Amino acid sequence: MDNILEVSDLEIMLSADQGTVDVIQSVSFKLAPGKTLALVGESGCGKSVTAASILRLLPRELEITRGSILFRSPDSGEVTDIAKLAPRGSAIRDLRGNDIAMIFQEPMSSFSPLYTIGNQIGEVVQLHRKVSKKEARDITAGLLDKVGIPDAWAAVDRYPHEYSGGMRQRAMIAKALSCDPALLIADEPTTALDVTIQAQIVELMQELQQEFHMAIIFITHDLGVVAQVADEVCIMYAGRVVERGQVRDIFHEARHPYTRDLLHAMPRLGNLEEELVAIEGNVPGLFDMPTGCRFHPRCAAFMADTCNVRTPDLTQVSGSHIVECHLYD
Amino acid sequence: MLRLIGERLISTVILMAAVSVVAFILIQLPPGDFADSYANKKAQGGVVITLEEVDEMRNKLGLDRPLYIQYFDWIGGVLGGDFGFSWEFHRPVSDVIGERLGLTLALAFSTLIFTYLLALPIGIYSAVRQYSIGDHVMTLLGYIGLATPNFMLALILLYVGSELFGLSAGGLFSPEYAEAEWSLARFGDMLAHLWVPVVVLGTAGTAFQMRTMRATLLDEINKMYVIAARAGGISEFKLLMKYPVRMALNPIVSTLGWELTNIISGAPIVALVLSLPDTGPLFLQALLNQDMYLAGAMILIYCVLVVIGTLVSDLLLLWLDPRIRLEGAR
Amino acid sequence: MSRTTGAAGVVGAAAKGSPRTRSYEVATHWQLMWWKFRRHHMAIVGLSVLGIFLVISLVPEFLAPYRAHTRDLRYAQGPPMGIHFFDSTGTFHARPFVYGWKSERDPVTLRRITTVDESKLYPMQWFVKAEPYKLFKLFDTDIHLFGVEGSKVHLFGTDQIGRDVFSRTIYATRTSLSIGFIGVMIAFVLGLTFGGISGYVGGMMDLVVMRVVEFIRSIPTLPLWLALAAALPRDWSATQVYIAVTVILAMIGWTHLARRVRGKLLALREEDFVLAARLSGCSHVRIIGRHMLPSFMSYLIVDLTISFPYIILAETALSFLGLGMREPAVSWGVLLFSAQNVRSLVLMPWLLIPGLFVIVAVLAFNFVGDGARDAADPYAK
Repeated sequence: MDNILEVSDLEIMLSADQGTVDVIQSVSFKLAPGKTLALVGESGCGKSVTAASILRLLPRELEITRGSILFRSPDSGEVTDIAKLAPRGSAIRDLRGNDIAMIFQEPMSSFSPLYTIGNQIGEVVQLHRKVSKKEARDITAGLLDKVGIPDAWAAVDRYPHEYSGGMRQRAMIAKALSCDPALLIADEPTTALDVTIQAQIVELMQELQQEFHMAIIFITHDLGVVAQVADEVCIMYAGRVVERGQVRDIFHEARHPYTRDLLHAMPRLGNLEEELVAIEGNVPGLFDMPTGCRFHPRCAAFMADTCNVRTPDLTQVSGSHIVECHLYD
Repeated sequence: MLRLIGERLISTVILMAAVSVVAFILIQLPPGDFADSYANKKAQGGVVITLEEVDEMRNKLGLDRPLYIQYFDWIGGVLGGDFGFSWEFHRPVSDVIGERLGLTLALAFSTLIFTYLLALPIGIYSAVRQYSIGDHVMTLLGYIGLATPNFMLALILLYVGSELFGLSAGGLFSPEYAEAEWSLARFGDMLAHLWVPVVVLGTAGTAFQMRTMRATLLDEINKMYVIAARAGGISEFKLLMKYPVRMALNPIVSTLGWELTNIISGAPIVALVLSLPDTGPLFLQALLNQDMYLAGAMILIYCVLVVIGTLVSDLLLLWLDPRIRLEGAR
Repeated sequence: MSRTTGAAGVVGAAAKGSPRTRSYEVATHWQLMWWKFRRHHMAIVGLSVLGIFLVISLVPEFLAPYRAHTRDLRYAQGPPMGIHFFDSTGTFHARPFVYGWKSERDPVTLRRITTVDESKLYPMQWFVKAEPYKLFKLFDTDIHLFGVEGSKVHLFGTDQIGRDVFSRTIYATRTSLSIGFIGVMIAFVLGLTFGGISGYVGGMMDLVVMRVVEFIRSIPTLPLWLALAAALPRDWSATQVYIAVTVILAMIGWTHLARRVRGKLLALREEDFVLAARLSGCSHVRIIGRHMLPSFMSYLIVDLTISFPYIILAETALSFLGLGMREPAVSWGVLLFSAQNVRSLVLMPWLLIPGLFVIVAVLAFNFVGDGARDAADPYAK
């Protein structure tokens, strides 16, 4: 296996009072070392669940019921099926923060307000490296400096509420980088930040990716960011991957009506006359999933007796470009 | 931070002053004053006291002066350790209370420790194993614990103790130590008896704190910062203790003063039922006999205990939570 | 939702997408609350229990076979009688019965000893004629729900002087619950008035009221109420004591309520609909009563439900100590007063049965309170 991560046929079920339903269905994708994959979709499409499942951070109600998540350790070359690990066991704990790190959407609430930033980053350093408390602190300060936090040696001893939102996200990145991970999962890292800070954070992540040679899974609904950072893109809708391909394929050769709608809904600089088109309707709820293609009630190219009856097959458009739609059956 | 503590201390002093006024009002509340009561008491004993004698006594004791002067008189005495005179015991109030206050304090603090020692682990267990059999059992016990009046629990324990084990669960000492000098053996004997009132007094509080712990922890356990910390690879137990439990301690600590209030509130009744030689029965007896200097002094002491408890809990919180601590620094 | 993970967010989204019929969208606020309340099974159980207590409080004269002060000296200090379907020979009786008894004095200890006489069977009767009473203080009648003819039935036994504990407990239920109810109502008025003044007028009034509330909350209440109750004149009649005790107990509940009212009013003061009402010339009372109060009424009702058991427990404690209600009034606390020492307890453990009523009532209120707390905000997930 050359890829660092291969997710295939992943299915995640939710058990709730109303019954059991799938949240994620037949999700597959691959990621090569040092590359960036963007998971794109509206809120509630399952992209965050997919990301959380890679570190087995799902809440109890959500369970992986099928498929595999193969991860190849870059050091030993050993391949682990993460989907088979116990979610609270030591095997997954050794991966967490060490080989695979994650940063979260809301920097404001991703640190405990009761401990200093240095304490919380140092904790990860000490968990995975054999270092003393003092050394962990030095390493932490170095990391904070690297992610561009001014006066890092003093910042180590500050509490989260003394950091601004952007600084906290930088600290979060520092925590993620503390053990030199091979894969970084970034769950909407810029959504909660101001626009100017967003750009800085994205830039920082790109620099660090070069330096640390990490693969990144970048979860976002912002196609502008996708164009900037991604090598490959997965478009998700209602728990399924509806289209996937190189960033070029998606932006210039989009096939799935949903992808096209997303692109139309994206504002572009210099195109002031072009009218933005909102996508009609909402993402369906888990308990009233449409039959057939899940996008058919909102689809402009809806074909009666086909789209609402059968789930479309995957169609290969070219090389790595795959789409799941009856238009291309 | 220093300013916060300063403000807190000042408000405590004001609170204590207010408490002393309330206690004084209570002393004055029953109709008639000390001289009347004294005359009545004597009259029942067949000794006739004339009105002039009563007036003279009133004058001597200063009972004919304006109330606010009497208040300052009284509070001045209290600050100097003189709580007035108990005509029921014919001794200064401070003497009567002094010999029993130690036991009241020992009981209150043992109960406080018992409450938290039991409630916190159970609360954590219930939250982590939500909807398990253990959780359901504990939740049910918690409900019952909150609903049972503590004197009822004391009565049940007394009954069970005497019927099943032929023991008297009441009192704080075995007969042979009751009047003995303090010694290690007497202390041990006291500890052996102390658990009954501690359990009785602590049950409701334990149930309450257990529920608080469980509810707060359930709130915290799915918070972003816990998941972010889990993503760093920390073990589940360490994660639980360092992040959500530590966070849930704040509301627990902030109820410390309140908890002490409840214990102090319940203590007199329980002490009466279990016939403990502490201030509880004394207080109730004083109320029934309208021995108001004694009763007022007890109220004052109970309130001061609670006010100090609340102060301690606030200071603890200040020390525990960097957010509050640093807020004050700015 | 904003502070949970994306994964947990999906769970929330799942609930949002759950099928919602049209009835959900057109339901009134109170209907929504009821639907949410209904999901708590224990709250429903609690509500049913409270319903039973309500019936007991309405017609205790009918439900109790005897009056609270009727003495059955022959069965004094007698234990609860069992209700049987099978007699000593194993024969089944379709109509349940109680055994007769013999009462004699132990020649040595002079203690009264009651022995069951299995040769005499007294079948239970429904709607028996016994002591006359006025139903709802209006209708003369002498029908009681149950009883036996030719003997007496004492389901919970009798006390020192032969009064039926079951009947006394039934009557006590009315007293204790009505004290709780009236106490809660007084607390409600106090809380509404002071919280209203504090939150609506604001300024100096707010400061003073809130300081007083904080003060009351920071001192141990029970000793204070005990002292207040002790200061009541000893020659007061049962009714006067009843009123005074109720008022004293009401002091427990109102501070919490005042805070809630104040907080809600402060938040609402800035709302547009209040401004609109003010601009259209509504009086202050009307603005509070018609426009602000209904928007948080449900919270107040929840708070009242929660403070109910505290008042019941406090009454029980007060009367148990002899500082609250006193004979000849009967309340749960008064009944427990006679179980105060170990000797009578060992002799007559059934005197503790009224205590079980206290526990059940408080449990029921707590269950209902928990359900109501959740239902108070029917739109929250």
